[in-house]
Amino acid sequence: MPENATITTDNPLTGEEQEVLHLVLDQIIPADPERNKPSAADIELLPYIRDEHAAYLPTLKGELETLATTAQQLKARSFASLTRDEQVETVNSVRVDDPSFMSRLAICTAERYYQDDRVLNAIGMEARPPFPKGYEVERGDLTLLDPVRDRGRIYRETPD
Amino acid sequence: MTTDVVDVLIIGAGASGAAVAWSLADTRMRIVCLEQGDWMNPADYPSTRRDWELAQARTFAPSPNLRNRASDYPVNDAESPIAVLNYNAVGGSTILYSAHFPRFHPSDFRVRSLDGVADDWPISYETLEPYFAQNDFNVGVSGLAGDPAYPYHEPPLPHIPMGFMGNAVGKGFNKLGWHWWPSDSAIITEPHQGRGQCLNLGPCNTGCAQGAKSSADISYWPVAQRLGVELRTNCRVREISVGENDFATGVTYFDADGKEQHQRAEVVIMACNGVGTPRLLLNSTSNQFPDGLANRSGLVGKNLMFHPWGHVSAVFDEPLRSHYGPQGCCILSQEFYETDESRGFVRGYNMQITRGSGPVNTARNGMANGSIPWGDEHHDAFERYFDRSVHLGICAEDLPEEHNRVTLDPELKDSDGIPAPKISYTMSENSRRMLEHGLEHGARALEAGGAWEIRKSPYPLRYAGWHLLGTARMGTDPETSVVNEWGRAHDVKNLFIVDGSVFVTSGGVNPTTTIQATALYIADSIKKNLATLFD
Repeated sequence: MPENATITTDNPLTGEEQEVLHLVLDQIIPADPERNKPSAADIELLPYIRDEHAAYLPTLKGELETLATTAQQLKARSFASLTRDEQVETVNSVRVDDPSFMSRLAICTAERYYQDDRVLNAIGMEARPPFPKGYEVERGDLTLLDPVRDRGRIYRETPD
Repeated sequence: MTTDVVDVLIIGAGASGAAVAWSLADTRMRIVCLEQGDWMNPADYPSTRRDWELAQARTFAPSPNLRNRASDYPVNDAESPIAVLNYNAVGGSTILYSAHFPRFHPSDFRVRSLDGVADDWPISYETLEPYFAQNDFNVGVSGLAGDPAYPYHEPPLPHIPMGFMGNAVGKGFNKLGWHWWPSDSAIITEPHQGRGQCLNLGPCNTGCAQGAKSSADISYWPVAQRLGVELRTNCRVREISVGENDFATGVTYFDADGKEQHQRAEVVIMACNGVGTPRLLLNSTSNQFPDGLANRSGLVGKNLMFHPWGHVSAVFDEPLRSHYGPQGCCILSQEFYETDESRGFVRGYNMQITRGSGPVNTARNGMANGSIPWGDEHHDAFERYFDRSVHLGICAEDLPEEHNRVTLDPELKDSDGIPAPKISYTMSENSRRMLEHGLEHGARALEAGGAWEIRKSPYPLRYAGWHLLGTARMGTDPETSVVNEWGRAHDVKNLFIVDGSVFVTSGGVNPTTTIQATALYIADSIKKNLATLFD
């Protein structure tokens, strides 16, 4: 058994599974250099899943295995050895029959990706909790209420 | 067993229990409040953490069945399309409420006279008006005077910032000629009573780390305690005991160590809201009250009212910075609040415009519904949605129906072995029509404001059962009500109920300010009638 196939507490996936996961994450949210947004493959997702979605790990392992099997069936090669277009084709071939396939992975990815400092900075947010600094919010234009005032009272009279 | 007798025993330290404790404190009577939860630590609130958007689904989930904290009791709501939401701590459900604080309208107290449905309240808007004003000051209400949907009143603090999103949606209402206004909010926009002003943190619904949102633990309780009220936490009441003369004698409760205790009292005040109060009354059986305490009318637990809730989300072209600011407070519209039978239903609803989603929820929701795809299109799609979303809630008045009720579950119990409540509820045809109307007209307003995408959620929203009303209704006739016009139980003359269960009707707005005004009114009535309180 190769060393990287060992499943430990800190490494719930085999090396091959991690490689496939890395490639799939790059499909889910690829990098956008113009926006300075990294690829989802470049964020630490696995510890997040282990901490917050541990019950999903067995399903994730099964999904990664499905991709490996499907790549062999469709292309007679390992998933990692496929071109990017072929990898996308492989994932889509499974998702066509089962739209829920890896949908939870996508949600986990979104949760972790949009907490990443680089991503928050890229979308114009400071990478910090709301408290204690808070935020400025515009007071709003109260002149917009003029027609509401001009219309006058709208509540009903009531009997004694 | 505790042998001393307190003058007043309050059960529940939430919105109404806190208000009544504060009001009665000036009598210098010995007042004790038992609360099944503990004090909150604001440092634990999600807005102090980077993962603030996700924390709500964990320890701050609004459903006790999902949250499952030690202080919670389970609720069997399988026979209801609307799940019961609450929070059990000092401050009660105000820990998680949005603090959207519109008052009931004068017409809400006269629905039988005006619309021929349900019943009139035995009190009026005018009865409560001074208590609304007192409560506004005590909690620190921010708002803008002159809303033409209400009798004139002046909120003590300046209105919550509307932001660009308030402007955008307000323009939409203006195009249609409809009412809108910055909402009264129990969030302080300036320093008030020793508390710091709102910092626009955002997630008010998971607790306010700044202490600007007026949850009862930080608005009422510190003052009530300084005035001498004793608050015992982690104390869960099992039953109210009653003597042969039909007077309540005290309560049996489990203390913080799980030990059974008995506290005797001259007066017992219930403040557990529309599910907790009937649950405790139904659990308090005796020879005199085999069907539950103060239940000779048979109405304890019946006439449960929620506010069936509709939801419309919208996305605008321009960045609105919509995820900044108090999540549940911005503007409201009461264009369709008062009855117009040509709409196909009686009574009406409030439209509550709330802030947009943060980055995690924008991405998570978009990826779940397919609007933000995988792959190279992801970033463009995210940009179209983020910072541009607005939510609109439809708060529909729910009319009382006896078959909507709280009973005791024959099997489900809390961690102390006390039978848990069971909810049986069906939404009425009137409410269904109201929500259909609200969703259609909410969407029209958002479209008129310039939204390019509008989504209506299936209704009623399941996890929207915050407002728990009507299960120990107020009235002058002991045959058709549980408490009299000042909150005293018809059947037990030293038992008072001050929470939302005394509501005769539900109005079409979030009820907390009306609950607290009612509690202050009842407390004042107790003080005025002290000499003849038990006659």
